[in-house]
Amino acid sequence: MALRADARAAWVTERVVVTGMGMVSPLGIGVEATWQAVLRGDNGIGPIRRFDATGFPVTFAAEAPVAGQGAALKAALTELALREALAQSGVPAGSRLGVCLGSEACRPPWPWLWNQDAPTPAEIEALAPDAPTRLVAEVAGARGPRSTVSTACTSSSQALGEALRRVQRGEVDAMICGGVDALSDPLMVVGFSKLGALSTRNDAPQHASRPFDLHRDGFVLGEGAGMLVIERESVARARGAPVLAVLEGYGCTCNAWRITDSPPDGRGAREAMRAAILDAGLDGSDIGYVNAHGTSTQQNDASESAAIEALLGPVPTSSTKGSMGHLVAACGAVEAILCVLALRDQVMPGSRNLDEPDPACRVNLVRQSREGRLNHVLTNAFGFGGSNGSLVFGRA
Amino acid sequence: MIVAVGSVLPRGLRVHAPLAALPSALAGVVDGPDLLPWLKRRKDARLLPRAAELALPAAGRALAGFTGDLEELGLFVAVGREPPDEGDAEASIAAMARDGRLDRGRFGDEGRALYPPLLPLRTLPNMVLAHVAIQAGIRGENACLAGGFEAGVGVWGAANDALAAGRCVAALVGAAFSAVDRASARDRHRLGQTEPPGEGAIFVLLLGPSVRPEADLRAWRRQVGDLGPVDALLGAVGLVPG
Repeated sequence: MALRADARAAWVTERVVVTGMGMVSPLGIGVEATWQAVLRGDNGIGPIRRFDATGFPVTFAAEAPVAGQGAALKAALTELALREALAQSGVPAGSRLGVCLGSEACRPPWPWLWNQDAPTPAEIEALAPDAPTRLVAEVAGARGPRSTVSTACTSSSQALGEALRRVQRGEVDAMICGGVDALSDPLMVVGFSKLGALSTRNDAPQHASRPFDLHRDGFVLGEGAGMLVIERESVARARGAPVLAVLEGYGCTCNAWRITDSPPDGRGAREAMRAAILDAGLDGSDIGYVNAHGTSTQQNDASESAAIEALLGPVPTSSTKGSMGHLVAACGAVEAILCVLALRDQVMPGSRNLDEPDPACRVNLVRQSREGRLNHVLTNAFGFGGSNGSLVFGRA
Repeated sequence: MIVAVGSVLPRGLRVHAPLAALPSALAGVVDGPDLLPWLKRRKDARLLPRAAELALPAAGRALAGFTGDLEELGLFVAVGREPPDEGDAEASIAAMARDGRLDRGRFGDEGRALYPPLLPLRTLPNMVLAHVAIQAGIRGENACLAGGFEAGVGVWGAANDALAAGRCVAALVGAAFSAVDRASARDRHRLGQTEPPGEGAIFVLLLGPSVRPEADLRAWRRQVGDLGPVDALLGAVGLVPG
C-alpha cells in the first residue's frame, strides 16, 4: 500500500489517551480479574450452560459469568463493562462525549419466528445492532455523536479506530468505545459449526482454543464486553483523569479475497498493521509486542503469522484467545484493554494451550506470560468478510 | 468532490407477492437486478443477501470510470440492520415443532440437520461491505456502520476523514437496505409500522477535498481515471443524535 509517511492528518495536534476501562469476559467480571487470569493462563471455556446443548456438534463455549439470554444478556454485559470504565475515568456527561461500539444484531428467539410469542416493539428494538450503543449513550449521558460498527470479528477494533478519529477531528472531547457480543446461542453454535469454523474438542474444552498450535482445530465462541473511555490528552489532564495509555494509531483494510478465508500471504492484515504503525508515527521496530487476533483456526493463524513475520519480524506475539475463546464483536476492545495493561505492567501475556507451536506459524510466540520492555504494542482483529483492523497503543 | 453516483432504486410502489398476507402488499421493489456483470464468478451469487444484490450494481456504476489503485480506494458502507433470514431456516424450525409448539431440544438433531450451512454467511452484518470489496477488488480503509440514520451520515464523515488525511485517494461511500422480505414484514407489523416498505442502494465516489484547482484536478484524473465532471462538493458532515 502506498500510504504516505505523513498520512497522519494535519489536524491531529495532540494525543488521545485512555482514561477508563471496563470488561466482562469468560474469565471474570472486571478488568483486573480478567488480566490476572490471563497472566496465570487460566481457562474460561467449559460446557455450554446457556441452553441444553445435548446432541449439538459442539457442546462447549466461553461463557461470561453473567445470567441472561440474548439481548438482555448483551445489555447486562454492556452495562457492567461501561460502569467500570466510567467509574475509573470520571468522564463528564454532555454533548462533548460520544459513543462508538462494535456490535451485531441478536437473533430473534425461536418462538418469535414460529409466531408462538408476540414480542413487544421494545423487545424487537433491543435486537438491533445499535441497541448497546443507545444503552451506553443513555447510561453515560453521552449526547455527542454515536455510531455502531458491524464488521463481525473486527467490529470493536474498528469502533475504537472510528472513535479515535472523532476525537482527533475535534468533534468531541471524549468517546466511549468498545464492543459486546454473546454467541453461546443454538443458532450460532450450529451455524458456525456447519461452516467448520469451531473446535470440536467436546471431550476437553479447556484445551480447545489453541492459537498457533499445530493441533488447533477451530475457534471457540465466547461472550463478553470491553469498554474504554478515550479523551484528548489536554482535557483529560486538566480534569485530573487517570491517563492509562495513549491510543496512537489505527489502520484498517479490506482483503478483497473471500468471505471466510484470508489470503495466505496475509496481505490485508499486513497492510492494516502497516497503516496503524504509520498512523502512530512509528516504525515497525518500535513495536514491542503484538496481541494477535490468533483465533485458533488453521487459516487465520497461518495467514496472520505470515503478515506479522513479513512486517515486524521476530516481534514477541501471543493470542489471549487460548484462555477466553473468541468474543467476536467484542474481541477487539477486550484485547485492546489487555494491551493497555501489558504496557502498564510491562508484561506480555502468554498463549494458553500452545503446546506444540505450528512450524508454519513463523512468529516469535510468547508461551508463558513474561516481563518485557514495552513502549508501543499492537493489537489485531480480522473478520469474516475480510475486514482487518489494527490498533497501536503507547505508554502514558 | 463527488464525481460519480450509482444507484439501484425502485421505480414506484407495486403489489409484492411475498407480502400478500399483509393488510397492504404494496412495496417499493427493485426488479432484478442483473448481477452477472458485477460478479467475478456466477456461483458467488448464492452467498448474496438482498442488500448486497442491490449494492453490487450501484457500487459498480459509481466505480465505472475509476482506474486508480484499489489499495488506495476506501469503502464506507451503511446498513440499516443485519440481513434477515429470508426463510432459509424455515424447514429447520418446522422440524423442531411438536404439537404446534417449538421443542428447542429437537434443534440438536432434526432441526440441525436441516439448517442451511451458508446461512451464517448470508446474515452477517458486514456482507454488503464484504461482497462489494471482493467483487470490485477494493482493499483500502473501510467501515461498515449499522443502525438508524446515524449510520447513513456516519459513513460520510468516516470517508471525509480518510480522504482529508490522505489515507485514501478516493472513497466509495454508500448504503444498501432491503425490507421487502417476510422476516422484515413480520417485524414491521409487530412494530406497528404501516407505511409500504422499500429497498435500494446508492453509492457515490468521492475524491479528496484538498483537490481544488483545475490543474490539480487534471493530475488527479490521470491518477484515478476519467470520471466525468465534478457533480458536487461535500462541504461538511455533522451529526448530533436526537
